[in-house]
Amino acid sequence: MRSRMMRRDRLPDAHAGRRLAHSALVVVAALVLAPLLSGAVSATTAAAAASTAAAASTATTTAATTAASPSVHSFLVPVHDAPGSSTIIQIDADLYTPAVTPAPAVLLAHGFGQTKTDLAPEAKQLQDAGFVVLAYTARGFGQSGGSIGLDSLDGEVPDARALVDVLAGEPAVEKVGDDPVVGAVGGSYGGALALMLGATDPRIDTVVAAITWNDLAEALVPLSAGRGDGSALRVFKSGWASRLFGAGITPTDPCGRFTPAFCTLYQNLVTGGQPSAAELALLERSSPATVLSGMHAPTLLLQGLEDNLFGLDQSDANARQLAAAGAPAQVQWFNGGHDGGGIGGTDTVIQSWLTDHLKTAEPVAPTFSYAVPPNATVFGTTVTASAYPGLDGSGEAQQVALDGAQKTIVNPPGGQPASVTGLPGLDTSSVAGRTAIGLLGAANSLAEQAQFVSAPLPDPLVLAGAASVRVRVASAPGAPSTGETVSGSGEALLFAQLSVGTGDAVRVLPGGVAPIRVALPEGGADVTVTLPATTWSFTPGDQLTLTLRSTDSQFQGQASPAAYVVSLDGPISLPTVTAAAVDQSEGQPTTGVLVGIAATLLVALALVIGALVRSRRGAGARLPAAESGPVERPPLSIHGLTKRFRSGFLAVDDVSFTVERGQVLGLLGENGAGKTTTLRMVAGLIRPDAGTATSFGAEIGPGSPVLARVGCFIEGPGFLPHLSGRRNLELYWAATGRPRAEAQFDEALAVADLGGALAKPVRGYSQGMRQRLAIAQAMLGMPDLLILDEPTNGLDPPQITALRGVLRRYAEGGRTVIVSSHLLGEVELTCSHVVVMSHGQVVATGPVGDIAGDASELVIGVTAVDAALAALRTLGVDRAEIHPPAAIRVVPGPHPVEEVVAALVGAGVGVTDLQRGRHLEEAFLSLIGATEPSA
Amino acid sequence: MSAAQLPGRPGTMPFRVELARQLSQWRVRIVLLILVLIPVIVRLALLIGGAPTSTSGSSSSATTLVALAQASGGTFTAFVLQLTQGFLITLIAALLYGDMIAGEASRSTLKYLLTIPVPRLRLLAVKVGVASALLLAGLIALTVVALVVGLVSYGPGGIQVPGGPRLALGDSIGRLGLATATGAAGLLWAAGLGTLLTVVSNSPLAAAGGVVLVSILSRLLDSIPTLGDLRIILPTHYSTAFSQFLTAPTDLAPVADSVLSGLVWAVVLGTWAAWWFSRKDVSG
Repeated sequence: MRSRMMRRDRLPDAHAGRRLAHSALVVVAALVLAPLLSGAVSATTAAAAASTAAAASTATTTAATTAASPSVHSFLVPVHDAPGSSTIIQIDADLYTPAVTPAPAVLLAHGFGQTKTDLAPEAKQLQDAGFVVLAYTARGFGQSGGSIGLDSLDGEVPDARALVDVLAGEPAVEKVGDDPVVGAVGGSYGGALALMLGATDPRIDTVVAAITWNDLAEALVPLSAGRGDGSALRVFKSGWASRLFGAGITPTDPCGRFTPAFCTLYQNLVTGGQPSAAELALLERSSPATVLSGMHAPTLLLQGLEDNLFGLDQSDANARQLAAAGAPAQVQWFNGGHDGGGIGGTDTVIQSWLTDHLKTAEPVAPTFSYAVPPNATVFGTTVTASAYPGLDGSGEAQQVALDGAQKTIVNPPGGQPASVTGLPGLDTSSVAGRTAIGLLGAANSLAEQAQFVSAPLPDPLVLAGAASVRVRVASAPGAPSTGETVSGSGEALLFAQLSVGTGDAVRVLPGGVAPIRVALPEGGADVTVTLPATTWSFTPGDQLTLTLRSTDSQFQGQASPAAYVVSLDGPISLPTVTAAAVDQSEGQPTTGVLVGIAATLLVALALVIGALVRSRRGAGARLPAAESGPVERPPLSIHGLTKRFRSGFLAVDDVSFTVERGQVLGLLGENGAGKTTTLRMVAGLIRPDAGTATSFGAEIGPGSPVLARVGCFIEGPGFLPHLSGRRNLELYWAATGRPRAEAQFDEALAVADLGGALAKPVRGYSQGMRQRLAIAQAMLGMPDLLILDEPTNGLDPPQITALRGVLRRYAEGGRTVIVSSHLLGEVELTCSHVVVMSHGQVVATGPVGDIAGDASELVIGVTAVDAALAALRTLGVDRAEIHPPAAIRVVPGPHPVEEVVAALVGAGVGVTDLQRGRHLEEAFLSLIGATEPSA
Repeated sequence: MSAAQLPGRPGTMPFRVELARQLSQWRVRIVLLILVLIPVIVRLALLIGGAPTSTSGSSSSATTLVALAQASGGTFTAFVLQLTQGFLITLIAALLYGDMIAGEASRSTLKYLLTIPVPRLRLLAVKVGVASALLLAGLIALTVVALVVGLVSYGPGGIQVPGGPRLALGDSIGRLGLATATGAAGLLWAAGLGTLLTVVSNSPLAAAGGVVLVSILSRLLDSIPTLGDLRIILPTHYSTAFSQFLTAPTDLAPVADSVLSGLVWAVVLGTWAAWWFSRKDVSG
């Protein structure tokens, strides 16, 4: 592929060598890439093969397709400066090669003032779509040599033919025999070139010409839009013409890169002259009108509605000439143009045209489609008709009467200030553009304009074509003589424009203004004015306005002062086109989005239903266990419960125990032993890593129904602080969804023992009050299993004592209580059973007595331990052992305490201390392996 | 006795109970009050600013709603919607949704609700339902109050479209309703994100702040045009879709885009939130 860079010197034998190298490279590349891209390549190859097969009716050779990565390379093409001239100029070109070749080629021509780099985005798109694209810079622009000849048949058009020669010699281009498959595509300056190339080079297979001209003289120096009796006069479109001229001038030369002939022509026009016959002949050499009779290729004519430079009349003339030449053509009016954003948005239309008429040779449908721009209340639409009707429409023209009273307008000396109706190139389809024109036009002199307004329209109406109206113009009596001409009779210069009022909003109809230049005899002139062709959708209530102005900043004005009396003769005629189909998709969401919304809603619905089904099934699976059997399962049974926190800390390690009905179980353990974590798992607040907890036979998970039988108080109270204690409990119970009567508020509130504070906000409660309220909340509904985590925190001794009684009584009714605490004495006094945990593991379970020792055990402080033990052995107690440092532990058996003491005293041992009862603390400390505190 | 309740377990956490719990909070009441008072505040601000300047002549040349706010009652309402739809209601949505679970967690009431037991997804669903109802009520109240204030102050006229026609009052009221609904749809992402953050975080402030932060970040990125079409994934990209109903012609495409974008965000974030919450370890 590198060899193809050296394109500048085209020698036949070098070409052949290159082709060989190219093929070799492609084969190598294909061999390397094929395994990688097998899917994609085979797909594109299949598509290419299909298109080749479709074109097989005309194709005589079907070369094997090759695949490579798409590439772009630049080169210069030498061309003759003029036909027959020996001077050579270089044309700067880029060749875009698609992945799969050979492929049909597109010659891409740019707009005025642009270069090939402006074509890069469009070229890349077409390259991606599988076309070879040759984009080049026209002579007189950018890096190309030569002078600007405005698409002259003696300059730019032969250049383009030389570029087709390049394509004909390019191996990547599909060929039919020796004839390359080439389409010519361009907009504006490039559009006219595409037309003229297509008409003069039979190798061109299709032409796409956008927003371009038919007759350059008619576009730049149009004939009067109003025809009176006299000879036709021309008006110089100075706004656009000077802007175009400005695009070609250079800092060193006022004529810039224009040919001297065009520079002279421009100078004549801009100083107010009428073009001479020679000048008109020069413009003819730059007009498709001159050659279109030779066109046979299918042609797409795209013309913009917002175009004061090349209006719809230009494409209309092209269409008529193509029809006369027998070339299949299709006309589309789109919402754009030189004053409406250029050819933006037409790329998909162009691409599909090229696919249909270059890749394959589909017949050209004679349909006509036109965009109707958005008005103040309705979005734009695209209307399709069965055939192109021209500018006079195919439907019945609507006659709308305008207020016909005669009005006087003046042309100020020098034609200044000129009314502003637009600026060349300002995008008037945008809000910003309309606003700018509105601001600029606000200062338009009312003396220079006459308005004729219709009554509110009763029915909707879609205008499509050139409206026409008869205007009567006469010199105002007593006014200074109107602009003199050579013939001596007067001459009138007027500009007509249509606008529409919807409520307060006034919109100018797209298409610009119609210049009217007529000879003005003594009695005045009757002129039939053809307004610029355009489309518009009128809604009922709209008012149509025809404005006649004596000046317009976009046209060469008239220097001599004048005053005219203008009036209308009859209604304005608005052509319509019978629509075959109307596309109203603008302003509507695309089907894809609507489907997306529906799909998302379906997904959401499916997720909700899925969640509901899962929760039902989960509940159903657990319920039978809860109901099964006449023998009720234990209130709580846990097996192998394990929880490791995300930090890696093993909080609960394989914990198992069972709580039977009627028990008051104490869960003992040092801080961090895993008590609270175990209870959280039991309450379904956290998920165990392993093991199960079952309550009344039903497994507990988050939100398990069986939790309704469990009352919880875990790790501190939680209330809505701004509500009273009573309201908090009421809302809590309401959240259970169970009847209020089941709550047994009175019993629970008795436990809380808050008195008058119950009606005050919780935020004012002390720690103990909140604690009691929380315990009361846990007891609401008198659950079968009550779990209390550190319930005595913050309670004073009398309250602790009271709670002790409450819990005992609670369990007496066959209910079960689990109390976790690190206060061993408390557990000892309250509980019937104990589970001791340490470092996440259960170290002991059983009745309190089993763990803490016999209730009759004595711990006696003695002055001599050995003597004391000896004395008691003599007495015959069940057990006696040392209780360090200076005490003995005695299980007296049948002997009463006084006998034991008497025996000690009798043995001469001094008794310093005597404690009776369980000694859970010692048991606990020995169980967890901690050393006893020294104190 | 209580065993008999298990099979036919009544619905826990009824909607009205959660509504009562929320409405008992002053912060919720204040949030709703602000929405109701804003039209009045705007009216007073316009009063201080002075009388409308020659509405008859300049109405068609004015290009923004601000210049036309005092043209009619309908226009005033449209103006108030334009003012509030951006940041303010996102903030309010953030407060309402961000508080749902994190607020309970921060008051330690979450664990007691869960051990009632309220199934986690039911709790989340009821919470989302109540927050959405409160938000919708606030939005509707805002529009209704603005309309009443506007009609009383500036007369019974419809919306004056900047540089366009004056719409009929009946049409305008319908459009204001649709604009409010579209604005609400534009908050779907905030609802989804607030729900996710409120189950992930234990701090209501962090959850609400997260939503506001994302909103600011999204708007910031959305104003960088070089990101091009990538911006459609930004949750606030279509946040101005509601204004389509305040202008003519009304382009329904961005409205549909807004609804789709909001739904996708809400489903993704909401599903994530539900998944997270259903397996979350509740501590604290």
